[in-house]
Amino acid sequence: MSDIRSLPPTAPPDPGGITDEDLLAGLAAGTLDALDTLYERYKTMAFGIARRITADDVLAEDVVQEAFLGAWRNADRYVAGKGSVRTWLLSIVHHRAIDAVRRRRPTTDLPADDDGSLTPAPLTMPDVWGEVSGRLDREVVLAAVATLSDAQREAVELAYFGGLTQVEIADRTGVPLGTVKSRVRLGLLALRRALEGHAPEGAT
Amino acid sequence: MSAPDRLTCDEIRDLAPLFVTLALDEDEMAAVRAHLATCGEPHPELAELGEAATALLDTVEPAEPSAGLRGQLMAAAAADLAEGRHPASATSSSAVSASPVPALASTESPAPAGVATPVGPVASPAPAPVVSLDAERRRRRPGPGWWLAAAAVIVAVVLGGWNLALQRDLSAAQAYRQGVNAALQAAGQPGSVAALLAADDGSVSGLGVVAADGTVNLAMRGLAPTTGSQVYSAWSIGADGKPVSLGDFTVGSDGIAVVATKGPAAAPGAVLALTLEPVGGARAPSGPIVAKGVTAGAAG
Repeated sequence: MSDIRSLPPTAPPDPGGITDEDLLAGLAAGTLDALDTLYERYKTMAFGIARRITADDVLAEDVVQEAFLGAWRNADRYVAGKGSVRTWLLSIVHHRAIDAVRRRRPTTDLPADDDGSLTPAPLTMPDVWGEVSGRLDREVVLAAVATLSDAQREAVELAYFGGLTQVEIADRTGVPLGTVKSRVRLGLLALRRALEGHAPEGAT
Repeated sequence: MSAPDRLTCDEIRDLAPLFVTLALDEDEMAAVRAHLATCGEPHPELAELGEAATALLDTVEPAEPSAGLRGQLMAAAAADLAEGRHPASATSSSAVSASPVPALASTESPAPAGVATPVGPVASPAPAPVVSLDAERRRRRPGPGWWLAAAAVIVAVVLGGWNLALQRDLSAAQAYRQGVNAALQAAGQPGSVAALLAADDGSVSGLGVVAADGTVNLAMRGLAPTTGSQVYSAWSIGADGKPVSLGDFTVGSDGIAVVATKGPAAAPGAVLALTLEPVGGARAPSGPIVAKGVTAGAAG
């Protein structure tokens, strides 16, 4: 039988002294510790989003792993002026999750990459947006969502968390496409108005 | 709905709420992106609506993923470095080394003919594989104990087609069979985890079992003979994402490795991997992944 030696354990990075941008630079440089820290920082949000969209814990974990690997491989594509690292990362999770639920539908025919996964649009495309007022408390956002009409909230959530296209939303809700578009637009504008002026979490 | 080849700025403004909520089909999404990639207009309406949509992410209740996900992610990321999928792969060796990686090693007494020869103190760890998501899904669903129930199938997979091939080297075949049997026996112990290890092209395959006390049994076939200072290094990557060396060994012309060593106990989801290293004792894997597999609970 072999003898086993072990290296001394390495102290974990100090999350308090490392910004998300620092971590992303670490990802771009291929530093596993940076990925580990970023994962620890956002795993619960990422998994929460993926699970909300997929309603499947196993699929949600697949989505989270794909999303973090996408960030790992493409960290150098992050554009600082187009939103925070947090938003960029969670947008990747969101896109991946939507792709996953659409791929799961038997009627959906989506192109796939060589490895079978869809191209993570947020890595390369202009689909990542900044924040209305910086990072907001969850209760604040929930209160803002509550200001939407039921029809607006339904349309927005069927799209954003249900992964339905406008055609599918129209079928589901029994309203014309134009009405779907209008409800989503008005819902988002109402949400924005409700959020503007709120101080970001932790701001003074 | 099919999208026109080219969209106008007015059409982009019209589609903006659906674009930022991903409510367009793939063709339409692509058409909008294509427009934005070349359009000189700033299209502030997209940011206005997109920022509101992004805020919806903060309505989600955070949830804790399983502990094994971290290990899988880190293993896959390490494999990226080792296999050239990460932009920093050109300097992957230093990148992996820079990350804190526990390590180490194992040695074993001289092995009999047909059995891999463990080599000196070892190196550390490494990478792991990006597992097919479909396969991973299938792997995770069965409950503990499925492994033994499928033992007959596993034996057929691991040994299948090997008898005839090994008639020219019966002692090696026997050593391999004994190695598989020993691994399966270990897999029957409570707390054991086991993985089928294989190369991407199927040229290398075998079985790895980590018992509850950290005893590791590996039985591999199809390995290229080591030459000079080359060694195969075995690694275990657990939930903490830190690869741990299980030891180095050399392989003769029969391509068989039967190795018993000791490492940390492993939980289901840990990755077992073999790399071919230029020299033994590396602190981090630098060579290519020769075979890999994700462990599942073997005994219930």
